[in-house]
Amino acid sequence: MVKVEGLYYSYTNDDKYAVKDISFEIAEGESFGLLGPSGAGKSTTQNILTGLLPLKTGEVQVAGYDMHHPKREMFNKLGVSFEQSNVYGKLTALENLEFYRKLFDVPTLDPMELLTLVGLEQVASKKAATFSKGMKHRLTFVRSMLNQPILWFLDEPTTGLDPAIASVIKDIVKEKKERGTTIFLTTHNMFLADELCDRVGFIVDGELRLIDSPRNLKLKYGEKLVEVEYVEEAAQGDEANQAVAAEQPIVSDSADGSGTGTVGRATIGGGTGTGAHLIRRHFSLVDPVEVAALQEVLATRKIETMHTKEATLEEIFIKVTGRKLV
Amino acid sequence: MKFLTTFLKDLKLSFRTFYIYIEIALAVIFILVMLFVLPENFTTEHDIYTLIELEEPAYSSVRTLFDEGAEADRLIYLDSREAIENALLEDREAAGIHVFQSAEGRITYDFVLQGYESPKLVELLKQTFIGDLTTYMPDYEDQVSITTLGGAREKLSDRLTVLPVFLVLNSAFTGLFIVAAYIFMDKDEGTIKALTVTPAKISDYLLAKLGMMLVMGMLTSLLVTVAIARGSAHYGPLMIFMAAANLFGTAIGLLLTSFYDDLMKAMSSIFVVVFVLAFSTISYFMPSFSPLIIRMIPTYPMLVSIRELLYQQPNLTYVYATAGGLLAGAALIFMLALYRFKKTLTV
Repeated sequence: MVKVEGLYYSYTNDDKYAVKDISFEIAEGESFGLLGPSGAGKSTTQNILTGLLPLKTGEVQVAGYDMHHPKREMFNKLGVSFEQSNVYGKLTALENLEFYRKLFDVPTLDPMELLTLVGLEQVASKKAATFSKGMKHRLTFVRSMLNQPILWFLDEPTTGLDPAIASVIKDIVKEKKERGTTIFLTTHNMFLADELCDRVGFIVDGELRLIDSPRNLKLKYGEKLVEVEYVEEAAQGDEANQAVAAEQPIVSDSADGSGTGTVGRATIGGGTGTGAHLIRRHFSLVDPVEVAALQEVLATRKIETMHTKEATLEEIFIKVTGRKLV
Repeated sequence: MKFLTTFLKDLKLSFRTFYIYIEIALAVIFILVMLFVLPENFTTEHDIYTLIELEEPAYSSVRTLFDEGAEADRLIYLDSREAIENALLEDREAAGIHVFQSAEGRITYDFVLQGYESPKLVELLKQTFIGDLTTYMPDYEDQVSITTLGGAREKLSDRLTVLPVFLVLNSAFTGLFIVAAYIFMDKDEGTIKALTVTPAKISDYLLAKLGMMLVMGMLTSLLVTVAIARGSAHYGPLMIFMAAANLFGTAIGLLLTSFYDDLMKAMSSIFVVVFVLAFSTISYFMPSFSPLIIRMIPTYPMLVSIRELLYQQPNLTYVYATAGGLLAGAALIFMLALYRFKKTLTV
């Protein structure tokens, strides 16, 4: 569906490249995420793929069209949801969608149904200028669905949305994905990418450092951990221990490097003196010492909760690129 | 179809923004000023305060001479020299004449002027007066004949003469002023980007803007012409001509806009262009000063063509030739603007 080979782009027409030597392919029905911090080259890449920027160096094919000579009719197959909302403020939500649907040469979805899908049906006849940022974003998002695209470009689709709406957007994307829509997602939200993408690419300073499925990346780069919460009786007269227990809530953090992996504790029942403490520890399943420690805890302590914990995509991104996603 | 959809959307948007109402308000203000503030003809005639201090029969002879003269309706008779001077103080446009008998017994004509008149004007006044007097001499024969090379042309009222200036600078060039505002509004809202990822062409987008400006220009030009010229304009050819002129103006606006990414930067260029275009009004109002360079400014043939269409017998060949030239120019400039927009619209 998308084929990119040796893509370079410079805004200044010199050797200061915003993207350099990027190559990747996206299969039909695949969901691909381009992940990276701001200014990494995500939007430049997407803008070239959507024809918003001219292709200068490299070969790019999108939905069967050579982007050296893009055709207007290719946009009947494409949907583009922008990070920045861009709707006509002087038109109502419904007028906005009605206008855009008439520009396509393919069957389109009913604007009112789309508005209902994202909870904007009550404000369909209100001018978009009166909308909140989140409402405008939803309108921009559903506009990209009008022509039922086979290739859907989503630029930060949930950024700035409240969790409930973000969840609705994610569900819509998942449903379209299940129906076979190819998705190109650009985001710096690793959780979103993890949830929606079959494969992700890490882009930093205009260079594509890595492409793989989130699962493979976790298997390859992530450390397998088990997080255990268990109860530990405090010894009588252990004032120091009790003081710590009284002050510290359970916190989530990485292992402290002591080998025990203890990261938090809390007093159970609020008592003093001989109170029980809830301990949360992370054990590496790779390190034999920690495996042994885990076995001891399982044998001697009362286990409250236990589950495996994978490294997040964000942690892997930092590990691979040495950069944070800011 | 996509052009029509975009055009109708732009038309709807234009009626929901204030620019079109500014255009209509300007047209209405122009109409009100022309109809209710300024007279139909801006007269250059001035009152002449007159005092004749002569005995009979000289008094009657001079009075008859004055009353039968060309300026008779401007004469206001007063009874003292002081009254003339006071009247001239009140009316700085006026002049005075004091006729009296000198010590030698001669009839003396003393012109009382404001003081700012040039020596040439004073001499002209003097000679004209002497010339007038000589026509009353026995056996006087007029030896002067006048030949007009341009042929006898009907004279438009001053109100109608001003009308083409408004039609050119406001209605024909509506697009020059306003199209930039609409395009930068689209850029600010990011809606141009959204349009670029649809099957609509950039030419559809620009043609829609051209169409919207055409509607606004035709609306204001019709409004003003009906109010000022009423039945004396040739509406059919005038509307055809105004359409050509409006397309030309908007095409220039589009081309200028393509070089800028914000309205403030674009405005400086637009003002320079408007300033240059407005130069032609000098030659329009003063035909004796019409060097080739001014006649080459497109607004000059526009002004002359519109004026033609206010005459009873217009030179339609000239009008249609000018309209054709403007349309050709509009097409060429539009193609340049399209090329520029394709390169720069979304970057």
